[in-house]
Formats: sequence, C-alpha cells, structure tokens
Amino acid sequence: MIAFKETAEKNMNKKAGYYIYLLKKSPLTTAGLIIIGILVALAIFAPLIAPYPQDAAGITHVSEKLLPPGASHLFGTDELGRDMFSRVIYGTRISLGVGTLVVCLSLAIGVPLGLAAGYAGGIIDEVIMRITDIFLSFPPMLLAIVIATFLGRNLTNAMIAIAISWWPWYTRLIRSEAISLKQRPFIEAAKAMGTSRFKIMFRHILINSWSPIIVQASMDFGSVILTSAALSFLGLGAQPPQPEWGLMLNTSRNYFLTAPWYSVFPGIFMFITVLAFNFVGDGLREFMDPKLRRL
Amino acid sequence: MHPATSQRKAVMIMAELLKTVNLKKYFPVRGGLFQRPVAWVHALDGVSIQIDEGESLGVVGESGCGKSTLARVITGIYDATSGDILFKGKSIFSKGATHYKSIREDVQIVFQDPYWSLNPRLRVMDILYEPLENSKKYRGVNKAAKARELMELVGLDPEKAGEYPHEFSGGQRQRIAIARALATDPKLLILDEPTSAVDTLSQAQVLNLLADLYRTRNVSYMLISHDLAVVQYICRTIAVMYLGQVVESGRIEDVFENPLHPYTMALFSAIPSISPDNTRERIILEGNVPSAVNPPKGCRFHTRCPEAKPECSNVVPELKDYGNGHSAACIRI
Amino acid sequence: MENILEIKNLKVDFATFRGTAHVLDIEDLCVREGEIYGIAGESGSGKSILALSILNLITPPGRIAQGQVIFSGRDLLKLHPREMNGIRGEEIAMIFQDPMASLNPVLTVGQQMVITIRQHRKISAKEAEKEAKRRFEDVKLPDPDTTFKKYPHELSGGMRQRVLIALALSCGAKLLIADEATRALDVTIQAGILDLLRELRKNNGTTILLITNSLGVAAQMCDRVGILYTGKILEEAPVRDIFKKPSHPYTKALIDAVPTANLKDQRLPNIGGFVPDPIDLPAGCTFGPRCPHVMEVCRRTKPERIGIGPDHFASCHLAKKSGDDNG
Repeated sequence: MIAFKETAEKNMNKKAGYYIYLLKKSPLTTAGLIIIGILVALAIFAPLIAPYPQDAAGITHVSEKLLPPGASHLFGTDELGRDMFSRVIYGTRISLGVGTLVVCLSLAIGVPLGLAAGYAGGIIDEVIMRITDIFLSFPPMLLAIVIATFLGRNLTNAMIAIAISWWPWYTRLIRSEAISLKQRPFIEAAKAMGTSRFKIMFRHILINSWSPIIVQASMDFGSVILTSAALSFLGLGAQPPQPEWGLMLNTSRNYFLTAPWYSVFPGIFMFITVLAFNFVGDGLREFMDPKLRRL
Repeated sequence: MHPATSQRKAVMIMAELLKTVNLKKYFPVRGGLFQRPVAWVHALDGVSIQIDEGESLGVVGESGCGKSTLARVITGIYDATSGDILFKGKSIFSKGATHYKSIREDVQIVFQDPYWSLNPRLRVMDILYEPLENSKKYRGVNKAAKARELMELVGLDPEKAGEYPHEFSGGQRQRIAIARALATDPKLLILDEPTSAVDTLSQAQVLNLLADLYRTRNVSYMLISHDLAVVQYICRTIAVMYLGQVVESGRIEDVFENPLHPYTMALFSAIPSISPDNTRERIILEGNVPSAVNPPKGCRFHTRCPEAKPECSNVVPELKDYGNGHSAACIRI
Repeated sequence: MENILEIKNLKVDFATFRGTAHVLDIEDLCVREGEIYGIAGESGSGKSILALSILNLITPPGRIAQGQVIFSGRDLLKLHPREMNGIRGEEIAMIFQDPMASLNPVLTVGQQMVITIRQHRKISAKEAEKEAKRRFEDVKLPDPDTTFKKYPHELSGGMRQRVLIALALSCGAKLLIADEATRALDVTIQAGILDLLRELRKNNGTTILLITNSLGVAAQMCDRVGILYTGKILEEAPVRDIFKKPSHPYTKALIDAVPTANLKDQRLPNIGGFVPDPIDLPAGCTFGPRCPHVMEVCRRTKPERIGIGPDHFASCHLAKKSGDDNG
C-alpha cells in the first residue's frame, strides 16, 4: 500500500512539474490566470474590499456627484454621487456570474444535444444539426437582442437570451468530438460488453471531450461578458441601479467630456477581463494540443 | 509441457460452441442528395465458420478480407445483414435483442490497438469493472477486489489498479484488455490482432499469457491475425479469408503442410521467414485486391490467381471437404 | 566494396520538459556500395530518427548533438542547406511507410514524375513523359499509360509505394532509404515490393538502407543487419550470422520471441520490462535491466563495440568474453 501511495505521489509531482513547465513556457497564460484569480477574489470579497458597499446597491449621495478620483473615492463618483470603485468591484460579481451562468446553461443545452447527434447519427443527427443551423444563421448579438426584447428587459432574461444564441456552438463542437471518438476501439469494446448507449455517451465520450469544451468555454467566457455588457448598454440587460459595467458605460456617455473617469474604469475592467479569458483560452488550447502533451 | 495441445481437449467431448451460418454483412456506400445507399461493400459474404468448445480457431487474411468485420458482427458491435449466429446450438437472433445481450457475457473481444481500446480517462479498476456493471448477475461484486484478482490473473501488479492506462506499456495495456475480457468468465474470447501493435518481446509475453489462459480456463479462442506465426503458435484450426469469404479451412497442420487453395499458397509463401536460408519459392501475386464494392464474378480470387482458368470467372467455387475437416473453395482441386 | 555512407559518433537529442531525451547514439555504421543494409528495431528504438538525421531533417525540439554523416566523401551535416537539398532526392531518396505523405495530392502521379525528371535533366516534357512511363514499367506498375494520369488517392497503397520508388529511380538516386516502406501493406503486396527492391539493387546497383521492425523482412532482404535498441546498434553482422549465431542477448531474445509452429509446446522467452525512457537511460548497458544474463559490470560500464567475427560486432560485456575465447 505504501508503494501505491508513493507512485501516486510521484505522479502528482510529475503532473505538477508538467503544469509549471507549461506555464513557464507561456507567460500570457500565466498573466491571464493571475488576472482571473484577482477578479474572482474581488468578486468574492467585494463586501470587504469595496469601501461603500451600499453605493453598489444604489444608495445615492447627489451632493458628491461626479467627483474625480481621489483618496476617498479611488475611481471617483458617478452622476448620483455613488463610489465608482465600489460599483466597479461589485460589477465584477455580476459579470463573472453572468459568464458562469450563461456558459453553464449553454453547456447544459448544447452538450447533451451534441452527444446525441454525434453518437446516434442518422436522422437524430440531421434534426438536431438543422436546428442548430437555424440558430447559427442569425448573428448571436442580433438573436440575443430579439430574444431579450421578447422576454422583457432584465438581466436574467438577457442571460437566457445569450445562452439561447450560444448553445449551438457547443453542440457542434461535441458532435464532432463524438463522431471521432465513436470509432475508437474502447467505444466498440463498451458496445461489445453490452454497455448502454447512455453510459457510452456520458461516460466514454463526454469524459474524453472535456479538453476542447474547456478551451471553448474559457474563450467564450470573455465573449459572453462582452455580449451581456453590450445588451445592458443597449438597455436590454441589467437595469439601474445594478452596478453592471455595460450599464455604467451607457450612463457615462453623457458625462464623457466632464467626467472621463466615469467611463474609463468600467471600460478598463471589462477589457482586462475579456483579455484575461482569451489568454487563458489560447493557452489551454496550446496545452491540450496532443503534440505538446506528448512531451 | 505447456499449452495448446494439452490433454484436456482429448478427454472433453467436442461440443459446438459458436457457429455462423452464411453470415453476411454489407455496409452502405452513401451518396447523392439524400445520402441514400448507392452501393454496398460486401464485407462478409456468406461466411460459415464453427468453433467447438475448447477449440482455438485462427482467422487469417489480408486487410479488407472481412476478418475484423466477422469479429464485430459476432460480438454485436455491428448488426448482421443476413445469416445466423448459433451459440451452443441456439440462434442468438431468435429471441430478439434479449438473447443477443445474454451472450455478451459469454463472448468477449480483445482489440488490436492497446492505446485506444482502453478509455484513457478511466482508472484501470473502472475499466475492469465495466463488463460486470452491465449485468445484474454481478451486482454487489467488490470493484477493487475484482480488479486485483483480474490484474493478478494476467500477471500485472494489483497495486496499480488505481492508475490510468497511460501509466502502462503497450504490452501491459493489452494484458489489461485481456483481463477486462475475462471479467465475466466468457466461453469464447475473440482476439482481434492482439499482438500486432506491441513489440516483439511484449508479444512473446502476451502469447505466453494467452497460451496459459487457454490451458487453465475453460475458454475457446477465435484469433484474428495477419501474422501466421502467431496463429500457428496459438491455434488448432484455421480459416483463410479472401474478400469476405472463407477460401480454405481445416486443422492447422493440414492447412500449413498441404495448402489447397492458390491464395493460401501465395499468402503462406509471402510471409518473410526469419531463416535467411529459406529457399521457399515466393509466389508473387499480380495486381491489387479488388474492391469489395464490386467483387469479381465467379471465384473472387481469379483476378490475381496465378492458376486461373477461363471458367474461374463464371463458376462460383463451393467450400468442399477434402477429408479430416480440411476444406477449400477452388474448382481446380 | 567501398562505403557509400559512414555514420560516426552520431548523437541526436530531443529537448523535453522533463529533460533531454537521448534518442540516437550511433558509434559507427557503414553502408557499403551496392548492398542492402538492414536496421531492425522495435518502435521507439530510434530507427526513423536515424533515417531523418542522415538527410539532416531533424527539427526542433530535436537536434543533432554531434557526429558525422559522410556520404560519398562529404559530411552531410556540414553542407549548406542548398547543397543538402540537391542531395535529397537526387542522390539519396527516401520512401516512407505512408507514401501518401510524400505525394502531392493535387497533381497526377505522371505530372509529379515529369516535374521531378525535368528538375534533374534538361529534356522536353514529351521525352520526360516517355521516361516516366518507362520508369513505371521498371517498377511493374500495371498499365503505365493509365497510371500516368491517375491521382495518388486513386492508387492502392502498394501502387503508391511503387510510384515513389519510380520517383527515386528517375532521379538516379544512389542510396535509397526505405523507412518501414512495407509496414502498412498486406503481406502479398509487401512481397511484391520487396521483390522489386531486390531487383533494383541487382539491375541498377542501388544501395538500400532498409529500416524495418520485422526480423523476417530483414532476414529475407539484407546482406548485413544492425539491431537497434534505445538508439544504439547493439549488434551488427552479416545476415546469416545475426540469425544463426546471434551473440547479443537482445538479438537472441528477439529471435527466440518469434513464435513458430515447432515451438507450439514451449513457452516463448519471457523477457519482462520495457524499453527504457530515453530521458532516463540506465547507466551501463541499456538492455541490462531486461537482460537475462545481466552482470554487475553491465550496470556500471557501457559495453564497447567489439569485433567478434568477420564483419560481426556486438556491444555486450559477454560478447567480449566469447571473442577472447575464440582467439
């Protein structure tokens, strides 16, 4: 048993060493991971970090409106005197939350459909793929706008709208993975053993398709945040007084000349967040490359 | 004194275990606007083979001859187009899918590729447990204990049951695949090129293991291989396939010493022997293996046969018994 | 006979995150003009790396750490890339396991032949076409006129391999490196290609370096054979000596491990273990950990290459003894 433990430990060390090696080779991915780590920490500890949590909830102090950045208000204040720093930090919560929920929702719809299409093939595949084609034939932004308008203007509906326009990408991805995996002998072996279709799909195929899904999801994270901000900017997503970055950008337009910091800080945060997720996505794609993995 | 020709066989009464009757498998070639089948690949075209209890049949032939398709139809990976498979005298298609499922425990398969025949994301113990999960009979079997038992059976360190397949070498993975196939104690093990993807020294070990298992367990083999040496080592009977049909079959000594079909002769002569003094005359076949979409009329081998006569392109030769179970399909014999 | 190819102290490394993998370490390998020299080794023994390093085609993370590859008096590793390009294909041709990879899928095989021929000789397209068809006949491609107009994907594996041999012939290569050229082919097709290679040597005097994982192919084809393991040639001898009087335990094990009908009632040699990790090669003899005759000295000292008979060399501490005994 001791020997068993030792090998397990050795494997762990080998794995850890491998990841460190990969991170060293790709500083941008490391930077992305660090930024995401900081953003997640900001989101979790927002009540502790933000100096004026109540401002994020929408308490106004009109007398302190549009103050420039300074010691008491790190990022200045908005047109209703709310502390921008607090609001931007709370905005991290919303954006990361939206990203997580939308990506998870898209995966929940897209993955089972893609598995079914790819593994079953034939008529099931045809039907599912034609449906995804319909969704894919609209520009996702446009589709999201239409759905958000139809469902009503609030953040939850915006998220549903984005997820509806997003899942077909995952369906396509998983379908192609399933098609290439179902030819593998271990799937044939499972069939010969009498393993059920359901188990083959979820246990054998899904478990081996995680790499491309994770790459795609991490890339999409950034795009989803951007799309949801855009919807909020258009007034179709978050509603005042929610501290959403897109919404903040929208209101800040009117004060762009007099109070430029108002638009700069939410903009910078959005930019950095999207960039960080793209770096990580790119890095992951490189890591998952079997040629690199072989090393 | 070791494997194949041990005495257990002599004492046992030979009973038919698995038999295929005129088995056919056609794959559609799809085309056109609606992806309708425009042609059919005749992968198996009327194959009748028989494996007795405790027997080991070698199926040889070149790529495209249908030997792997045969294994996949018998194990239910592919559905048969027509024909019948009898297991212990009963048709496995007769009672519909339920009966088909019940022979799954009795007929197991080991694949060629040791890298992809094991799910790379599952632990070895989960891989070994999978065949048991699918049957109510094994409910309550302790996974870890069963995995240890199976690992020991195939000569692997049972402590490594918690590891993933990539921790093992090619030969070891093939042992894991064999262990998995043995989990349900099958009556028939189908070995589809079990050693062609592992190196020579590991191959020797796997062959030793197969010979040991054959001797000690009540299991029959159907070994599919392009390597005649492997077949000669493990098997007692042999079937030679060409373009979806059996052209010659019989006891291994008879077929090797006295091949009747011209294709069998050419195949045997083409195998490079490791003896540099080998002066055996090589029969070089002209041309390529014809497409299985449009197999030649008459005898399928006549397009390449060095001894073909005009009538070979018209007459379909039947598999005839030339004594002692040695049969061949050629009008010239 | 003169040496057409001499490899001296060639070492090839690959950089990986765990350290440097030493994939090839050839002390001394000579291929004589007009012979068929076989390199027999299992997958992972470095045989393909050997083929690539002869043509100086090792790309990062791999690199040729040291050594010489002398072909007709020139060190190929020191040549200017442009000169090297002239040698590849013109003087040394290579055929691979997958012929599709070396053929252009959008040109007919005839066009490819004509292009190659006209690169090497200033002749008209008409003449080149005639020459190409003649070459197709030489390699026994059925119906050269039809084949000439076919695209690579329309040909079978065996025919593609013949086209590649025809290409090699048409530029008058002196050395043909066949890297597992028949591995993907069926035995009856393989027999035809091997026959063709033999004829090529007989009629054109082409030297062939035959890299294979099949001892059978090596036994049937070669004049001399080198046994490759962990990038090192453990034993080298004329083909009869290798198979009749193998002196390295690895060679013996390999030969004994081939099952035959006579062995039916015997166990095959049960040599455990596996090919060592090229990053972490064992000290001393690399076959030591698997060797049934391993001695203390094998674990410490790397065995030297010792002549134990005419043209017969082995790198084994045991071989030294038998060599001394014999005189």
